[in-house]
Amino acid sequence: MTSERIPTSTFNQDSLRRRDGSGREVAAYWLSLVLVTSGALVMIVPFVFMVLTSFKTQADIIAIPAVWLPSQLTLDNFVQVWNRTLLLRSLVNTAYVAVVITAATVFSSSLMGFVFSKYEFRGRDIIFAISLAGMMLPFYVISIPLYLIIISLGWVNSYAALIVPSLYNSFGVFLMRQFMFSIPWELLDSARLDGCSEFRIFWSIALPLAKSAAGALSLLNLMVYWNWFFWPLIVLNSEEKFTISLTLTKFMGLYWTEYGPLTAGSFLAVIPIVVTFLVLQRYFVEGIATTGMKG
Amino acid sequence: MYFNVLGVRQGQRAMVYGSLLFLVIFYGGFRLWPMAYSIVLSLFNWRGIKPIWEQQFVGLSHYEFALVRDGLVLESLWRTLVFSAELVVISTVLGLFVAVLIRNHRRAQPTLRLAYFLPYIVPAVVSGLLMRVLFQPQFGSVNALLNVVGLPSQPWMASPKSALLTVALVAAWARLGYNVILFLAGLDQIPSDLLDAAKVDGAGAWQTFWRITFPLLMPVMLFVVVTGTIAALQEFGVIYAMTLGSTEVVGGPVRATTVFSILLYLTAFSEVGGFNYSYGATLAVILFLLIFGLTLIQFRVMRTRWEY
Repeated sequence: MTSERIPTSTFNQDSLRRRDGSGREVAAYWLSLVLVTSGALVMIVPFVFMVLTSFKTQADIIAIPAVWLPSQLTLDNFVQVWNRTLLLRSLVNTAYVAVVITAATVFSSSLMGFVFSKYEFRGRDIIFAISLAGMMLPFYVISIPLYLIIISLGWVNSYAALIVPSLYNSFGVFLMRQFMFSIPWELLDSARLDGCSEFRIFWSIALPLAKSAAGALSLLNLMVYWNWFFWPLIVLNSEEKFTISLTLTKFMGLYWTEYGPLTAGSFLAVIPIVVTFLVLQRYFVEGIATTGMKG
Repeated sequence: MYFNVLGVRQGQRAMVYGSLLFLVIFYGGFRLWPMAYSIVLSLFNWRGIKPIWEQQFVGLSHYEFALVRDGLVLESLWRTLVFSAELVVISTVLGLFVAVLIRNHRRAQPTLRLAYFLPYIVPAVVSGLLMRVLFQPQFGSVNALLNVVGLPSQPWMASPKSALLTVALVAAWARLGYNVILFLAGLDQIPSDLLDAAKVDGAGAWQTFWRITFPLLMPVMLFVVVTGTIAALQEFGVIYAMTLGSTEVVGGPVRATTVFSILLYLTAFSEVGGFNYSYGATLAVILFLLIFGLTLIQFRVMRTRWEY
């Protein structure tokens, strides 16, 4: 981490400007600020459009030339979403699937990360290497046989089809193992001398120390499974079971020219994940910076 | 304990064997077994849910058909490469540019970073849906904006010529923030004394960037490019959402955006391809080989030690 007080690089224009600030450097400073800020605005324009349109009346939406700001605010689009789709139901479904998978994978990845980094047994490193190979398996490659397996198990259109195949997470085990390596042996051994069981040592000593990695992994998994689309599209087929992305696409196929309800639905779909991100983002920025995170 | 073949210490056995059991069931059963099953499927003319001895063995003929005779497959492989190249080049170049600029503004950095990252957080389907409305040729805001600055309207998704680039632009928009964060982390690792030394020697900002910053960013750059390519080869949600019409066919107009993942989906999981599991599995194995090669490169690159 670079300290706030010591200017670590001459590229730090904030401090440069205060020190000498020749005309060219000041100009470059402001020009780059204007550039990145306009870029940032372009990035969020679709969301601004989404929020504004979701509160617009139909008259404003179809007006030519287009009006950006609603002339009057209405909740009608949200009412329509409520009446015509099971969107709220699918928000609950998505949260359920994402939370269950995240909790289970973070727990199992931490435990296995602990076992693979702190215990010694024959074949440990070979078993770990084989378990890592899962990171190289793109989901599409196993999707067809997995679907046939799900059919044989009678799990089509059930959450088991989403949850059970996702319980093992190669990347999670890899990440947690890397982190658990840095926990000092002495700490674990002294707990052993005090008569702690091995699970207690994992649960109340190792896991709290790996909190930031577990936090990053949780957020990453919540994002991945909240936004999950391909696999739910294949295994779920009834509207009551749909996850949010499925409800939105079904709605889109039928009414995709009705921008009002469409943007209202999108708005509702992004609120939970964006709020979750804002709450947990410090873990994520740490994690992404140290590990590069997922592909 | 005669079953303790791995020589696990007393007290640790439950956790070790429990982990291994978990690994065998969930990794073996839902990852490795399907992978092997995929290869088996591709060697048969698999129909319905029947045991293997009632299926027709066809050897490598699916592969031969896919790579030599099936124009759709070669066409879509090429399209996937074009799409991935566009997506990776746009999101990497812009990502580096934005990261270098953002770094100069310490106070505004968290807010700006969040704005760039927002599209990465939201579901691909939402991105596709919103962009589809904004890129609409007659009434969409993108064309309205082009007209304001004096440029002609573009057909975007309406024309087979521009559709692939349009979805690549949208996917690049969604990925840009992720690259920005990686580049920012990479820039933070460059030792400041090197930059200070360059300054003392009288190097300008431009020269310093190309001679020092850029070469030192190579590891991050390679990581961004390789993982970005692997992700791009598998892009699905954005394209699905931007091309879904009243029928279940996606990847249009006239197959212009039928990249490999879409072709696989249509082949194995829709009426269009007649739920052809075997041919779908063949495509899946081809995709796997492509991505496997890239992952090997990635691991090689990441194992290389970079000295500053």
